[in-house]
Amino acid sequence: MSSNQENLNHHQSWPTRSLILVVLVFLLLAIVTILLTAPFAAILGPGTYALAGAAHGLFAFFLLIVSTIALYLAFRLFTNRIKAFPDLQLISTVISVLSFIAICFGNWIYIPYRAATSNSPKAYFLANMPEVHRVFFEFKEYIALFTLPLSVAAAFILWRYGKELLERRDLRNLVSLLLLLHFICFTIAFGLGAAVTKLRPI
Amino acid sequence: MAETKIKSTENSCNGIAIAAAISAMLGMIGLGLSAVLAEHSPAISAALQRLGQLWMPGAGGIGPYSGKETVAVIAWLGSWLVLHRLLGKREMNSALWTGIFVVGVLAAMMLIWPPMWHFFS
Repeated sequence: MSSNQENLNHHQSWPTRSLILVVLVFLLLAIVTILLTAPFAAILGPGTYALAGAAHGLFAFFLLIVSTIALYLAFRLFTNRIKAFPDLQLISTVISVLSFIAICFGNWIYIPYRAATSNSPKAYFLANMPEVHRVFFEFKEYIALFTLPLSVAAAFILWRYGKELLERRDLRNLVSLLLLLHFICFTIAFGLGAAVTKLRPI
Repeated sequence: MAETKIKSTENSCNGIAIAAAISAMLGMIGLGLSAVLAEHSPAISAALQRLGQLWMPGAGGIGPYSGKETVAVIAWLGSWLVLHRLLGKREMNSALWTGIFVVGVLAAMMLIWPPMWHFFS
């Protein structure tokens, strides 16, 4: 490559890089401004557990996205047409971690939910709509826990066997099944959690 | 199909995978059984609460739920340790064990469905 050609490339790439830099600086400024001035306390709501509740919902939402991708990759694995096997290994690990984090925050906000006060969500439901607590919330709090062993088992098998798994139909089926069950358990818990929160937030 | 033609790097038995799946199922059944037992016995419910309070931060605030989680974790990880050692070097009947896994998970789901708890009383 001649010296003139190198100079030309340099002059062509520099404006693009500087534009990206400018956009990043503006984005950073916008984020800092929002973080410093936005009244987050108002949107989170009152209460000691508002932040924990928001974190639980946020991580559950992330998990919804990632477990949907995992379900698609599990289907590709089941049909033996998967191209992104390393992605499936990574995503199964991510859903395991997100399940664990969502469960931890869920435990935390379960404290105000079942608090022995007249205005706690549990007291409200028992007084006004007992089935919401006795059937739907009780089921939600248990089935949410199923997501962790299912995703950990899937991730473990995917990493332990690696690409050897692609040649074994029985193991492909088992991992696909684990990820399908994880998705079913998670979406039930997510849907019921959203419904209960809509009726009576913490 | 060319996209999936990848050579094996090692020849592993399926016992390791079966152990991982069955232990997950046992953890779920442990959770379901502890939920049913706590519903029908105040003594077991109190014992589960004490069990959770042994190690879980804030367990006092969530009652016997902390103990049910503890039972589930012990059943899951404890059985995984044992089954991994027992089945790790064995080639298992995949169809049979996958069937057992599915039936077990469905049974665990039935155990945590609150309207079912009254059938045991």
